[in-house]
Amino acid sequence: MGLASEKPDLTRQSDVDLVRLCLGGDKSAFAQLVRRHGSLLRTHIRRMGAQGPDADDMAQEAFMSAYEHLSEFRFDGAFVGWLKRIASRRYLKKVRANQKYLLTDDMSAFEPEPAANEGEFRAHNLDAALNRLKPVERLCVTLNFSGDLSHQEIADELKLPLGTVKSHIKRAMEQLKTILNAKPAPVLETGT
Amino acid sequence: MSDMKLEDDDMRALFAATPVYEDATAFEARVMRGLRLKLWLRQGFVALAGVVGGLYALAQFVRVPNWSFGEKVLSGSRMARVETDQTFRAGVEFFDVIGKNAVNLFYSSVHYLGIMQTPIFFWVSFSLCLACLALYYAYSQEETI
Repeated sequence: MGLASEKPDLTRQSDVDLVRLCLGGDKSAFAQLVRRHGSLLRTHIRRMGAQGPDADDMAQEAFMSAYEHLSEFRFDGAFVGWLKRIASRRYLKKVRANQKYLLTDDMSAFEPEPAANEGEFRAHNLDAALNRLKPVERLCVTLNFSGDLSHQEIADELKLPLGTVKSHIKRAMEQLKTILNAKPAPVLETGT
Repeated sequence: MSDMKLEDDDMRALFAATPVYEDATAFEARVMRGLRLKLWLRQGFVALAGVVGGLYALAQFVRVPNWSFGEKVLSGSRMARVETDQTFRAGVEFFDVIGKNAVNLFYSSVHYLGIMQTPIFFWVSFSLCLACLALYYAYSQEETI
C-alpha cells in the first residue's frame, strides 16, 4: 500500500504539472522535462542550421535559461513551444553575434547539386532535404513549421520584410516538397 | 509517401517527428550538471563578493591611524591580575585605559573621516560600485530570453 506522501511518478505528469513542481523547488521535475523534450529541442536547433556540438550547447543553454525564467512561463501555451522560442532566440542571437549565418539573397553559394543525382537522394529524410536549402530559407521554414512562429514574428526576429519571409518560406516549401516527393533510386534486382 | 503530394500538414507532421538520440540520458545529465554548476557559481560569487567586501571594510577599519584596538585594555587587565595587592588601583587604571581608548577612538574617527573624504577613497569606491553595476548589467543582458 502506497503512502500519500510518496513522490509522484514524474513520467506520468503533464508538462504543466512538471513546471509547477519545478517552481516548487523540485529539480527532478525539471530533469524529467529535459528528458522529455531534449531530443526535440536538439533537433529543432539542428534544423535551424546549427552544427552538432553547437546545437547541443545551445540546447543546454536554452534549458538552463528556461529553468531560470520558469516563473515567466504563463501557462497559456505548450511548454515545448516556449522552450523552442527560447532556443530560437538564443540561436539567432548567436548567429547575429558571430556573423556565421548570412541572411543573403545570393543563391549561388547554396545552389543544390545537379538534378542528375536526384534519384539517389534519400527522399524521406527531412533533415537531408533541409540541408539542401539556402540557410535563410531553412531558417524561415524551420521557425515557421517547427518553432510555430508566425510569418510576422519571423520577420521581426530576423529583421526582414514580411514579404521576403513569405517568399523564403514559399520557396523552401516548394523545394522541400520536390525533394521529399522524389522517388528513391530503384534497387536493381540481379535475380538468381 | 513518394507517390503522393506532400501538403503543408504533412510537412508539419514531418517536422514534429523527432528522432531519439542515443545520448539522450547523457545530455540530460549534462544539462542538470551545468545547472547545478551555474547555481553554485552564482552562490559562490555572492559569497566571494561578501568576503571581499568584508575584507575591504576590515582593512579600512584597521587602517585607522593611531588606534590599536584593545592593546592598552589588555595591559590594564594584565596589571590587574598581576598586582593582586593593588586590585583597586589596577581597576581604576583599567577604567582609565578604557576611557582613554574611547577618546583615542573619537579622535581617530575624525581622522578616519578625513581619509574617507580624500579623492582617492572616492574614486576607489566609485570604481568598485561601477564595476558591480556593469557586472549586473552584463549578466542581465546575457540572461534575457
